[in-house]
Amino acid sequence: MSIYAAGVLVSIVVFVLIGAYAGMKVKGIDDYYVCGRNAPTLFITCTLFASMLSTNGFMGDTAFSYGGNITTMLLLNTLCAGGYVIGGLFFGRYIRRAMVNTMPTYFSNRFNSLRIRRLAAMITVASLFAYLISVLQGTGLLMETLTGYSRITCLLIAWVGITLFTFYSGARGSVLTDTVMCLFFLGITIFAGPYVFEAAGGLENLLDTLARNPETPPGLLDYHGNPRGGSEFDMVFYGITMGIIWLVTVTVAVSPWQAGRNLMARNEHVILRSSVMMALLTVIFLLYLYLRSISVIPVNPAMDQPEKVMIWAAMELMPPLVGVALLAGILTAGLTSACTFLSVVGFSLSSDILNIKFASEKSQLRFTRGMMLLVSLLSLMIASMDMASIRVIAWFASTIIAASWGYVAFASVWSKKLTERGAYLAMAGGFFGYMVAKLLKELAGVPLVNLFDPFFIGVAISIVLGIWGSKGQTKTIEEITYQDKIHQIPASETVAAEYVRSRYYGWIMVAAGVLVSTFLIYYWAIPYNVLLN
Amino acid sequence: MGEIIFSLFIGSFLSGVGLLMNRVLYLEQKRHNSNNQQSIDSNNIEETSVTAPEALPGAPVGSGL
Repeated sequence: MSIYAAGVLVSIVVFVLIGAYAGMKVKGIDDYYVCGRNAPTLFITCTLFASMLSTNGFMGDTAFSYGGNITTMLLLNTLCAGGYVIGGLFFGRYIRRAMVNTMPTYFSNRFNSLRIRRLAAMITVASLFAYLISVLQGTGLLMETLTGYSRITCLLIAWVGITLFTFYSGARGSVLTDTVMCLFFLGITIFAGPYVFEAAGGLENLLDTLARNPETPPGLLDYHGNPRGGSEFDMVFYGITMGIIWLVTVTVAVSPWQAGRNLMARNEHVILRSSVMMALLTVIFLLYLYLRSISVIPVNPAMDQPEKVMIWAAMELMPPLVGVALLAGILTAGLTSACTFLSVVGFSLSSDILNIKFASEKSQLRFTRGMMLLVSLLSLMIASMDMASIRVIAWFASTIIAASWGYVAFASVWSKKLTERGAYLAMAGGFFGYMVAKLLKELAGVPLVNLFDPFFIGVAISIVLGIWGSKGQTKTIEEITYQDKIHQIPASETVAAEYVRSRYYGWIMVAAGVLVSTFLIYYWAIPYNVLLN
Repeated sequence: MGEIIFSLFIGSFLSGVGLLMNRVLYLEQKRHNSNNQQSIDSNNIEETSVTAPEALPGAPVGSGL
């Protein structure tokens, strides 16, 4: 057995052991679904970051940077980072006050409607199930590369780890493992960085090395990035529109796995503080990760499979133990994301779609775990078929939730006019509008890009239908009462010292902005322009 | 030049969001304090209304005198 295979197996065993420990602490439904609503800032930050940074982040985004678009990724991530804080301020806190276990339950309570709950849950299940399959496949593929085992064996190992873990420990285990694994891969990524920088001739010389290297992708060092056949403006516009899409997505925290994290927070200030930390990690840590990926260019330019740039660097440029630790970190990032998707699908299916009345919490817990097992079996079956169309499903899954209920989510807190009928039509319209536009784009080749991206089409249809559907109607007493309730700040949240502490985080963000600008101007913008001249 | 504008945009956006957060929290706390003060004041007025008849025997109950 190679050192990489051993590292993979050890990391999965550690992963399952942490899940088993957390599972022992699960006492009831609140523990299983929302971690007892008692998670502190560190836990919420780590679980948000771990579920965001799956194998796609480590492999796909680093490949895009390596291909010449590090500035595009930085622009996109910065806009997305703003969404975390804006979302916490204007949406996440209000959702927490609703004290629900899932987002579809929130919609159902807010609009006093069972059909909205079912529709929201079906959208959640459709989207996250596709995500689950793609992450399971990605994790299996990574394991196959590292261990040399067959694809099916790797899928089975990943499946056993994910299922055992989620089945037993639920949200409590997910939060604990996300935190441990997040700290682990943050630490090991930072620690392993200098090995790659050193191989490229040192971080201090990186700009010069890349600027003089004829194999550096075009536009890598320019503000617009690699235009990839289009114009410079097209690429900047792509970064801005994708950034806005993700800003909207995380602003209304509409991705249930992100919104679910707000439901687990100890209090509203924890939501705000963790959103600031999350924003800083998204900009600063990911910039560091991308810098590492472009440092591979002078050593190994034009890789056939740029998705493997981090894997290659770990295996070829680092001492074996550091490389193994880093790869185990990437693998566990995939495992934790898959667990999150599995748990959200299982929760929505058992709690919101089937909505069975249980005699006790114990029987509800047993049923939820059964559903979880069923979902994971189904995902394993589909993932093992290795259909090319899985990629198509993953495209559909990417921003479908934000397009379907982004407007409804925000309006549910702030609109005085949106009624149940408007919300239902808006949600359904957003979903089908996005699906049809995405089909036209991916299968029929209709050039729906930038402002005509299927996401914006879905959102526009959703808004129009929401306004039209609410016309001539007034909100019911139940809807008004519920909306008023979520606007009342609980007494426990109004401690002056807590406000002061939260505002420190705001100042940290202000300072970070100044530092990031200074860093970029001093180490990139000015020296690069000097080199050009 | 484009690189400098880009760098300034990235930092300004982050700082701007931080400032927005602090502004919202500041106003929220101020509003909450002022609501609290109002409810304390109205409680005091009610208490004064109840104790007034004892202070001025013969005055009508609830007249505030």
